[in-house]
Formats: sequence, structure tokens, C-alpha cells
Amino acid sequence: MSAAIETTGLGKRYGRTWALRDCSLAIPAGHVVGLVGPNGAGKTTLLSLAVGLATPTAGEIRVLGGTPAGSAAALDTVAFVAQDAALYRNVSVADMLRMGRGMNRRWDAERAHDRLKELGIPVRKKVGELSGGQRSQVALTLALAKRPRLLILDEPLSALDPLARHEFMAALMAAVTEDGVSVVFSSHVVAELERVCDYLVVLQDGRVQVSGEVETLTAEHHVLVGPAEEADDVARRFPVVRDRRTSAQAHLLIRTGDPAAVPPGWRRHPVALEEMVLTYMREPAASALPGPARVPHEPTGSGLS
Amino acid sequence: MTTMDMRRRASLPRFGQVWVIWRQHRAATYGLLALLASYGTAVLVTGLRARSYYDRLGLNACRSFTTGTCQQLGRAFTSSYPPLFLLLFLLALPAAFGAFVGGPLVARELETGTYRFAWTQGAGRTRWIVTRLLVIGAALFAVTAAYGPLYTWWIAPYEHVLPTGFNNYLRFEFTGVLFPVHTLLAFAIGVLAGVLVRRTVVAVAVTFTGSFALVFATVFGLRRYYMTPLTTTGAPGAHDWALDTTYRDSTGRGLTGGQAHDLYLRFLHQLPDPNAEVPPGAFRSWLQERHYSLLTSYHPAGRFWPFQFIETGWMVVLTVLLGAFAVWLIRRRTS
Repeated sequence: MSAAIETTGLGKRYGRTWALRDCSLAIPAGHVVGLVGPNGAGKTTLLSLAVGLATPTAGEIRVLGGTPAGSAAALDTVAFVAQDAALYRNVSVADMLRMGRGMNRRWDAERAHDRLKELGIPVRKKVGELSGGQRSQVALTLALAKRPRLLILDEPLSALDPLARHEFMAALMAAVTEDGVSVVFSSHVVAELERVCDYLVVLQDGRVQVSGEVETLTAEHHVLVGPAEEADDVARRFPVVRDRRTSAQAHLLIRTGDPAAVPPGWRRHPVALEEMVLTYMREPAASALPGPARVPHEPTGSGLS
Repeated sequence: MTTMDMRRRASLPRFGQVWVIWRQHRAATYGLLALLASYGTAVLVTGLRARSYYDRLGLNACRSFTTGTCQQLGRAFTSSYPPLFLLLFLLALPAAFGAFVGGPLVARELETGTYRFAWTQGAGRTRWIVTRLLVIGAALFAVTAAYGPLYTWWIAPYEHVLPTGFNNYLRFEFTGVLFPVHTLLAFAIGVLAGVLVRRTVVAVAVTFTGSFALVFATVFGLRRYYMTPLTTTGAPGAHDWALDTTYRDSTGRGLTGGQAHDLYLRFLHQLPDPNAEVPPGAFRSWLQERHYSLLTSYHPAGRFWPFQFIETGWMVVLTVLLGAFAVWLIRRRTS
């Protein structure tokens, strides 16, 4: 399967600070990818690089199986919904659509109009007069009208109330099923991710911390609960993401590809995606990059900092 | 990707970008046209009035306006025009157009974040900016080019009565294409300023001030140096551009300003009737009788078009360079 976004040694520096550093990623196509991380982790930078708004300081970034990001071919097949739906506020929705049509080689005007009609968004209204939810829907409509193969959205949910958020994600999911478009969206809202995305990338301080399919990630992460005095032993056997101990009990969030490997006297609990992501975000030193996920007997110090 | 209703084009829609530009600059276009219309109306009304006054005074019958009744009538006629220094504001128009059209062009997109929409469309940002520069540049050129013939028609009767040298900056401005070229230069300055400062208001202010200063400095400072002036001891012609006059005595030594003034006072003193009008050339011949000479440096009238060409040329080159620089900056600009 070709990669939706592929980066090697990608870095972006603004002045003296690296917004993104040494980022090597291969996000396969055909997924709905959630890009999460705290504010300032480099999410917007990575997405800007992917749509060609920014150029890398180091390394390279390619989209859709090898097309350089931001090249003419990439701009034709990659659609972008910027944060806060960066549309012309004093232009009517209908004119906004016509502008999109004028600036793209591929354009499905009919579908765009149908979509807006379905959503009950008046095309004669100016963009600035719409509600935040409607504005996001217009931005999504404009992006989908390009018939992209890759749709990139920067914080599409941040300005929406829960209802609008729900409607937006429903519309997005409908488009995914209809067109088979690959989607990458950033979010600092961790809740609801499980329902929406099947691939996850966690960014932390400009570096990739976790990257992988949600299904695999949830299958590989467990909490082991057992007596505290054996915790050091167990922690040596598995990569530990989080280590919480009381005087009697230890809760170790571990990563292992072998769910049967539960030490005697210990109990295993599954971990919800949200908890896992929050844990990674709280433990900047822990990482679970793609690659050999199974390192069962190598002692690692991760998570013990 | 195989859906039947999908509109797939091999190329961008014809005039697609142009429509986008039109949609974003409708108001500016109407404003420019309204300004041109009011200017045109004012020119037409006052120009027709001047022509009928010209006829009523019977100036057609005059061969020359330097002596006698014709001179008197001619004076009456020219004074019916508004003082021409009031039209100095016309020199500020290119700066204003350039600032208000060029300044926001990129700055507003950067300021409001809409560049993230515009630059991620299939057409790409290079085409986006280049089309903008060309289309808006052409529109500005077309609109401002109309100012020239209007002014020339309006001032024609005046010029007929009172011919002026080509140091007359308004005639120079409105003949040829200098007025549109000044506008395009200001436009390029505005676009570039917008890319560099990223703030609409700042870009507009900087562009207006900078372009007006540049045009002003060119018109009143730089222009006379385009070519080395000629010198003559005779009187420069009506259409020449007299730059400077120096007095020399019989030995060829230059006189100081004070000495020259004394000479003039002496000349006035010996006139039979001090209140009468001094005939043109009288002072010059009076000086020659006393072996003084008047040395005038000037640009002959024949240099009018070479001067136009020089100024148009360097300004067009500068405009293209600034425009290309703006395009280059936008191409490599990373948000």
C-alpha cells in the first residue's frame, strides 16, 4: 500500500527553534489518521509541510506515494482545510465555490452544491455570516470538491461546539466511505478519537512519539497490575510507558505484542485509546515508534525516568 | 476516482483565476472607475467652459499672445483656469492607487490567514501571484491611461495661449504613459511591501508615502539630470526646459547673485517708464550692449520624448524587478 504521507529526517526550524525535528514517518494511505499532541508539539508545522505551505529545513516530505509535497501534482490531489476555516469572510458561499472552481483542475461543482443543500447552508450568505459549524462545513465542501486523494485538516474541531463537532465528523466519515479518500487531521482533543480514526500519530516537542494503527496500538498496550515488590522484575521484561506504584501495588502500562505474556500473580487490563494517548503525552520520554514492536526480553529504561 | 460525474479537466479553467481576482477586487474597480468618472466629468465641464470662453474672447483671431490686446485677452483667459499648482495632487494619485490596490493584495491574505486557502488550491501560488500582478497591473494601466488624454484636452487652449517648457510636470506626466507607469511602480512597491511587512495598514501607509516620495523626487529632482543640459547665450525657446541662468561679464567671469541683481536694478532704472511692461528680450539685449552675457543651461524641446523614454524605461525596469522579487519571495515563503 502506498504512503499517504512519508517523511524522512524531516525538520522545520523557525528562527532558532525547531518546530519539528528528525521526523521519519510513513502513514499508509486509506486511513483516517489522527495527529495528536499538546499545543506547540508541531502538528500545524507537519501539516503545513504536507500541503506545501511550508518547506522543510531538513529532510523531505512526500505525499501519495512519492509526490513531493507542495508540487503541482500534489496540489491537485491533496486538499487542505486550514485551522479556523481560512475562507474569505466577505464573499458569499456560492462565490467561494466559484473561486475554488476557478483555481482547480478538478472540481465537482454539482456535488459541492448538493452537499451544501443537504446541510441546509444558504449559499447566498457571506462566509462571515455563517456559524462556526457551517463555516467548517463549507471549508470541508470546498476541500472535497477537489476530489482529493488525500484530505488534510488542521484542527478542524477546535472551534466547534460538541454538536457541530459531531456533525462535522459524520460528514467527514461519509466522505471517506464514499470516496475512499485518505484523511489526516490534527487535534488536541483526545476524546472521540477512537470513534473516528484508525491510525494515530502522537507528536511531542517536535518529534514523533507514537505512530501506528489504532487497532495494533490498543492490542499492544496493556496495564499490568501486580505486587510492587515484583515490579522492577516485570519492568525489565517489557517496554514500560508508565510506571505507577503504591506501597503494595504496581500499575505498569506496557507495550508488548504478546498479550499472553502475563507474569504469574499479575493481572492484565486493556487500555482505552484515550488513556493511552494521554499517557504518552504525559510521558514525553516514552515512545512507541513503528518498527519492531516486539522487544519482549530486552530491558529498556523507557518510562522509568 | 472513477465516478462518472466527476469533472476532470486537463488544465485549469480558462479565466478561472481572473474571475477570482475580479471577485476580490470588484469594489476597488468600481472605486477606480468612479474616481475616473468624476475626474472626467470635471475635466469635461471645465474644459468645455474654457473653450466657449476662448471663443467669446475671440482668441482664434490672435497670431501671438505676447503683445497688445491679444496678450491682455490671453491673460484673462489663462486666469480663468484654476491655479495649476492646485493640480499637484494629481502626482499623488499613482501613489494612492498603488497603495490601496497593491498594499492589501498579499498583506491581507497573510494577515487574515486566507493565503492558506489560496495557496493550497490546484493552481498553486506562483500562478496565483503572477496572474494577479498581470491582470491587476493591466487594469490599473488601462484606467490610469485615460487620465492623460483628458488632461491634455483640458489644458490644450491654455497651452496654446501660454506655451510652457517641458519642465511643466503635469504636461510631462500626462503625455505618453508616465502616469500609468508611475501607478504600476507604486503597485509593485505595494505588493512587495505587503509581502515583507504582512500588515495591510502598514503596507498601504508605507507604499503611499514611499511611492509619492519617489515620484516627487523624480519629478522635481532627478528628471533634469537625465541628460547633460546644453547652454546658450540666446533665449531658450518656449518649449525648452530652462534650468539655470548665469551672468558673465566681458572677461567671461561669472557674477554673483548680488551683482546680477544690481545689474537688473540698473536696467529697470534706465527704463523710460518704470511702470510699463518690460518687452521680452529687452534685458538680454541691454546686457549684451554692455558686454555682459546671459548663459542659460537648458534642455531643448526636442528632448521631450527622449526624457519620456528614459523615465518610462527605468521605471518599467524597476517595476518588473520589484514584481519579480515579490513573486520570488512568495514562492519561497514558508508560513
